[in-house]
Amino acid sequence: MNDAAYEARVLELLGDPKEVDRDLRAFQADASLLSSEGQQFLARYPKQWIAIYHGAVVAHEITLLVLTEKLTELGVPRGRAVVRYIDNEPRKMILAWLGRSRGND
Amino acid sequence: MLTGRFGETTGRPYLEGRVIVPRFGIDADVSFLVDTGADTSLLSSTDAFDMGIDYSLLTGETESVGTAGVATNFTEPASLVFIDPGNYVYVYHVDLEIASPNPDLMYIPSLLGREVIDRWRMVYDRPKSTLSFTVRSADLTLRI
Repeated sequence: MNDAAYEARVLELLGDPKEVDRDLRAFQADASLLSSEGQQFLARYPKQWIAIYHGAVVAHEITLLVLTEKLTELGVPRGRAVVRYIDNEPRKMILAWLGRSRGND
Repeated sequence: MLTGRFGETTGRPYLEGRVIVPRFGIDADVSFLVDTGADTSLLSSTDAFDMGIDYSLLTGETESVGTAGVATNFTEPASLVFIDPGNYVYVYHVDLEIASPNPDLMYIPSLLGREVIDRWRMVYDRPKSTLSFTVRSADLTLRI
């Protein structure tokens, strides 16, 4: 796929910027629930995968596979729900990700 | 301006965006952990699974070094999309790293790396719960 064809395909998949704006605002609001309701989710759904869509937890399951199947049953569009594992023993993350660039600085 | 958030329980900095993978016709929304230690952006195996990426179709296997050692990923042309609500949609064309499935790393979030962050001015103010980004450049800018 050349650059022009790639960009045309991206724009086709992106669709109307107004819809992107609306969808991403909704997704941001759903993701914000992880911040504002984090402690409640921890109490209600320990060691479970949860899915948040349109302001509510619409599914919670022990495995990600079952959760994904449940979302399909519920008619939630793929890639539009916030999916997260609620870990009641939060792990400390120390992340660094060194990719293809090489250097010694 | 783009606006991120800090996780309540972890304090981690996140920014929501959309991932478009043209070869597979996939577009999906993702919470990215903003990671200035990441050379490039990385799609977690959880997010890849959630959006329906078929690993058997991935090529471009690469190795990357993280704090936990060497990891195997796949590299796929993709675009990352962010919004300045009500104003602009910004699009970045990247070579996205896609993490190989690994049960021990299922809880690692997707990472927003420096190939995108380097094109923004970032305000990281945890005491005031402010995480914001001013866009300096983008591959595509669309008016909303």
